[in-house]
Amino acid sequence: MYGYMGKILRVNLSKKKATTEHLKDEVIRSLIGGRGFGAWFLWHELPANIDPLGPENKIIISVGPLAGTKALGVHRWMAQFKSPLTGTYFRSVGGGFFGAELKFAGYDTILIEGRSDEPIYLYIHDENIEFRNAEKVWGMTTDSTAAFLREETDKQARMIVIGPAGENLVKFAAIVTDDMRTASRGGGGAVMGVKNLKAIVVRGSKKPEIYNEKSLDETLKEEINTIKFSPGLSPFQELGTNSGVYLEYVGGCFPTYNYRQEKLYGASSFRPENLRKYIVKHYGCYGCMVRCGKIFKLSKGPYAGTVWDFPEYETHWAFGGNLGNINIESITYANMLADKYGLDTISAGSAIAFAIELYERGILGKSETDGLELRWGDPDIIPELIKRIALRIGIGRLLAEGVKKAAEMIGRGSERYAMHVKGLELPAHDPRRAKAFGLSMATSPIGASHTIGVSIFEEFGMPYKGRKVDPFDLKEKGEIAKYMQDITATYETGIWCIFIAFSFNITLDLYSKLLYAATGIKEFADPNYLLIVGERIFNLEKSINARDSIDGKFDKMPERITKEPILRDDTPARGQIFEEDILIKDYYKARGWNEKGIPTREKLRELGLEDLIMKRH
Amino acid sequence: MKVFVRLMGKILKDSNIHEFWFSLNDGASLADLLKIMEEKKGLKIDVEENPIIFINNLLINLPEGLNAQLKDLDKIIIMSPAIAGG
Repeated sequence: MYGYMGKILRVNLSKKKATTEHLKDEVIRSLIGGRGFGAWFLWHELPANIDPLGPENKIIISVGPLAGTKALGVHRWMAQFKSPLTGTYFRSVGGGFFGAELKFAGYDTILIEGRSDEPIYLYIHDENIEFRNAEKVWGMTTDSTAAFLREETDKQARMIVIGPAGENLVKFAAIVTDDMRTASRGGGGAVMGVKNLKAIVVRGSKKPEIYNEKSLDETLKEEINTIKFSPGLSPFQELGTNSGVYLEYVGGCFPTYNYRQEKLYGASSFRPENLRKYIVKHYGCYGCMVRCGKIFKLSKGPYAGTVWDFPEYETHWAFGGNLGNINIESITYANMLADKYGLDTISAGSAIAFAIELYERGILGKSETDGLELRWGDPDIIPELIKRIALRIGIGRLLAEGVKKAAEMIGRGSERYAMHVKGLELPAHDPRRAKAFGLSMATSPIGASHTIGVSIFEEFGMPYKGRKVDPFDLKEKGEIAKYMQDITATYETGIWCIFIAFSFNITLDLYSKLLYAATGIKEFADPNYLLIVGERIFNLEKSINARDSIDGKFDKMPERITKEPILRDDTPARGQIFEEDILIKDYYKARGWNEKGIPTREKLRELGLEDLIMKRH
Repeated sequence: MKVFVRLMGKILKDSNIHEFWFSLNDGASLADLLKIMEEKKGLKIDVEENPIIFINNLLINLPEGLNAQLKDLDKIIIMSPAIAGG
């Protein structure tokens, strides 16, 4: 087999047993890999309506068919599971070096099922699979865990781990690599935690075989040149996602004060010329020439001495603008804590914003906030609340449930201030500011994800059908949102870095050439086929949710987004709201779904998903 | 007439923000502004690189929007596409 290693590692934690299975040819051809594989397994193997924190849940870790080859930007890994935060199908993506090493160990996919009675970690060294005791590292932060396990296994090993947040079943606990890249969203860390699985450590000695090395090398040259000559390359190399923070604030995309979108005084803290001052080092993921990762050093203030992976765009928002906080030092320190504890920064920041607004409005009193005064713009409250969430102390016990559940538990009208879709907290992209992007988030099978349909037209400025897309307009937004979602799913069959794929304009044609050169599978030589596979995967994911009665009723934005216009007068997005009814109808029509937001029989048949019809209809 | 210009992102091959008032003849277009900025200030904006342009908070379509006529005190934002998220 070319490109793929051809093997799934099935790990049963209850029986402490690991077996290998072969990848089925028809699954490869119809779903390609990565996100496609995980969706397929979850459709076929998860019963309906299971408890995400019960032993029946499974977690699928996959890499794409190009992982471990010479191609750039394709070595990421994906975790798929039923989410304890949303109760939906979920996919979460991470970078670093783990993905490539998993491929070198000989596997395309690991499927974890059951539950261990005691804390363990998996050590995968090619065909040797060990279930090792993890008592010593249980309770350790992610970085300490990684250092310890590297000593116990192999200094060259790579791994994914959970921190105390995952052990404490925080609903938005992240899965973290040894190089601090995270599959943050959706609570995959809690799924590992409830299974008593502290880490998966891999070390490999194999390499994927390539169908046509010469063709791969030629296409690689094309890929390198595409990236090298892209105008987006140098700001991204210089500052990573920090290059866009202030720009997105001005554009109205970066929402402030729990999405109230009031003016953020001092937002100039986020200017690139200011953020640049903190950088002491650059780094990258496996097989990436961009190296968008940065290390920040804090030299002043109460957090002086901190040297850590920098806050990405989303985190500058989550611990910054969304909390009215402009103190870069506190944002950086809070980011470090989130990484160490293993927490999704977006959900954590959103939970803190929710709590601050409730306190401001008198819905939560001091007796419920552990005596803490929760104020907008207070830089020092943030690290304290992160700790309490991760360790489920005091108010942290409530916030660790996520804003949706926390609001249900509090009542008193708090639901109005819980900014989520299907339980997943909204990210740093205001749906009112970019309507197709908002539509993608509203209809996403995993809730309000900003990466489920990458906003290549409204934010990256690429033309659609030859014209610039007005982000505030409603025209054709259903079709545009569908396209964004389908093409993102297509690229996630190879688990592409979305920055490489979309910001540097790696076309479907180029992906198709790489895929065919690596695998020799003739269907993959047609870029149009790849797009059909993306649509197929998206409809499969929607069907997994529909099986659990999660349909269009849940394709809903919070009231703040549909009824409260953007207040700020320092942005072109002033006055915008999200016209949900019109946009959703347009989207379902573009999708060929029924009025309940479910794929029709005809659509499933068109996409070759007939077996879903048998089971669902 | 005078217009306010704000340039953001890697639009000028550096990541800093540039903001200034700029004098133009009455009736000048956006294209005139870009040309004169290059001539007088050495600030070259390459429209082939997909900049996002707002005039008074309205998005401008390219290339036809280059003919948009400017007025006194107009506020023009020109930014490179944002790579954010993550």
